[in-house]
Amino acid sequence: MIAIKALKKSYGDFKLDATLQVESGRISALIGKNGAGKTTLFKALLGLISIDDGQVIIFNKKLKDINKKDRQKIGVVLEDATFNMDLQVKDTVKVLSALYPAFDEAYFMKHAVKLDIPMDKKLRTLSTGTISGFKVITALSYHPRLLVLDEPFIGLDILARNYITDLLHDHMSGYPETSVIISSHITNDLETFADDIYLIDNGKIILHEDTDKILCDYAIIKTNDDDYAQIDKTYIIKEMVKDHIHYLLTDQKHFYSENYCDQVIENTHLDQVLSMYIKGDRS
Amino acid sequence: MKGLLIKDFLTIMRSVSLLLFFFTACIVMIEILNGSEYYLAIGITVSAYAYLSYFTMIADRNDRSLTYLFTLAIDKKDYIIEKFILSILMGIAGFVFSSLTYLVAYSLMGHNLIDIMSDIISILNHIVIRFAVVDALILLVAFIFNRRRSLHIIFFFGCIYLMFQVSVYDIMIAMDHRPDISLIGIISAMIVAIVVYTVMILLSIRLYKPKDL
Repeated sequence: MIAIKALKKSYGDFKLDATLQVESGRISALIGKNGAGKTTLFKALLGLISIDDGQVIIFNKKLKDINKKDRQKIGVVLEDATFNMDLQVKDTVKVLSALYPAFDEAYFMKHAVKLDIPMDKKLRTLSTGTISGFKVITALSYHPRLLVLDEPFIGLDILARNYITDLLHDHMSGYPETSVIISSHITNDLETFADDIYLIDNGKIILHEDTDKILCDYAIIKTNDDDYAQIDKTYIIKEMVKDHIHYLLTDQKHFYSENYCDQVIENTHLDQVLSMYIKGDRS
Repeated sequence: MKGLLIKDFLTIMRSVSLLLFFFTACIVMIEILNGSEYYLAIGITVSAYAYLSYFTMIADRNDRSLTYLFTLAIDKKDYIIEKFILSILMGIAGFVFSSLTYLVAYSLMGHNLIDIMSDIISILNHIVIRFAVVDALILLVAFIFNRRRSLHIIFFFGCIYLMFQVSVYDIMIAMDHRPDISLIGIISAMIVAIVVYTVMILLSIRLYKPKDL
């Protein structure tokens, strides 16, 4: 389980101020536009940057009390960082075997073959998608209890993404106490396996909701100026106007379906919710 | 720490490869065959090899791999101590390699093997002390000023030092004092080196604050 309590970090004009929690056995997704603070939050969680205030709790310990044994239970994928790119894939196996007693070489090799990761090539020569696959199986290969995945799907084709998603599912099945926090711009994939969603914007968490609730209870109502004036806006969270069409985001789809059945009410996806929350105005 | 050592050895081999070893062998051989004092050839090689530890610090800064390293099961202390140990191991490798090269070259020239080995052992204590003071100091400075641009500047001045270094032996010759094979001298040098290295490591642990992660 991880808990971030009132974490504050400032970089010039940017201020991160976030609270979130990921329970054991849960996959929490963190979504937001570029520069929203996702990577900063991950770095603070991993102790890579100092924080101005707040607390980070991992495995029921404060971050400063996390030792090497605890770190052996944390698997990390960073968007723009990995091993020295002059190393070959097979070299990283030797390094991981020495650093992690629980490193499962057979697991790594099996999935490297499935993802067509060549063992004798330098990391620098691999494609973006292959590097992403390498990073994920590296993080999973010592069977961690906490996974911090910052954009693990970059450059992956749909088949590889499905394979990685299955790997994550298998890991959660084999180690049900694992906590996962993941960020990705490919929100379609997150909808299929994330248990809950944190939406971050300008360094603040502006939404935390179960994925199922977003997919089942959230909706976008499209209406014209005349109908807009008649609609009950009690349950409208955000609204946006474009080309004289009003787009209204609600978390009470059933209320509007029953009372405004003549209106266009569409099921939402995560990217639409993200867009409405960031670009829309509060009703 | 074993994992970090493996990483750095492989980084050196993959990045610098055999080219460095052949380059070093050429320098040693040229120095010897041109009649330069053997101590300079051996001293340069020891420092050049030890300097590879510093090179791995620059390599860690590339591709943001240092950021990733600190997410693995290591801590700051491991990282620092490993760099110093690597510098010692590479220095020993440089000493062995250049001594063997000198041994073979001068044997082929007809010199007495015992005399050659005496020459090598006679400078051992000077090399150890200079190595401990200068090469460990370079690592300490690198840990204190650990931004990417600073590391490249230090690397540049380190190369200048390697090219124009003045051997302690030269200074002692100028002072008309020739070293003899002395077990006490070697042991004293080792003790000084251990003390200096320990102080440098402790200072590095205290002062190193990883930046740009």
